[in-house]
Amino acid sequence: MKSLLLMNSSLRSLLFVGCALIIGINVAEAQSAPNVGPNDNFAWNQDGPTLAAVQAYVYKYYLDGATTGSVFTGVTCTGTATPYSCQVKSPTFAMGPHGITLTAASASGESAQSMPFSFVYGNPPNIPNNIRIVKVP
Amino acid sequence: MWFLLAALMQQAPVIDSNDLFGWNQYAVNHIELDSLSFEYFIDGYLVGTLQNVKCDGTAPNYTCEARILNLSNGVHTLELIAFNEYGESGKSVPFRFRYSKQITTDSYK
Repeated sequence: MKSLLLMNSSLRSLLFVGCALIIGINVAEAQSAPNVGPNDNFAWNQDGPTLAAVQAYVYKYYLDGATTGSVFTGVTCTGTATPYSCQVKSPTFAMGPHGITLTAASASGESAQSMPFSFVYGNPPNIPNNIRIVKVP
Repeated sequence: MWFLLAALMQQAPVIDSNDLFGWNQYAVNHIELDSLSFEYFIDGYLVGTLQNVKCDGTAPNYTCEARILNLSNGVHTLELIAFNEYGESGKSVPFRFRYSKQITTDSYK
């Protein structure tokens, strides 16, 4: 899966963030924005000196061009060498198309925003209810 | 004990091979409704995706129907899951029924 990368000039050696979505398809080759639901995860590649270091970064997402970022909570990173793989459960968004960018921050500062990642957010259906038999004459 | 079991079995509504299963399905509109598919579980086991589901009514509480084939005679439970491209619902409350295969006239020949 091809990652979308960004590099911050001030943190060029420390951070870069690629954003892709884990929904079982190759996002880079998809023809349209993937569908995302509350059970999906966002995932990206993260460069850093150690796994502990990238796990300690604060990751923010900027929704639809917002100037203020929101902190991702519950980010988990894995791997044995850089780039590490990080992911987080999707926050809840309004239904419809969106774009987000990510940043990573350490005590040294915040990276530039990643390339925008486009997706369409929606909700799974409600539970079927009141099952019954329909008699056919 | 046997009488209790027999009484419980009697309470399950009877469906035959001509009948349909019906249920209510919440959807904000027909577009969302048309995007739904349904998996079904018989006696707790996933069997597959329901085919030829027909839904009607008005938003948000639609009425859906489908026929389930290849059931064996006896008491079973049916559970449904609705799913779309964004995920799946939880399982419905189990519906207990008794299946009785309808005997056609040809069967007597």
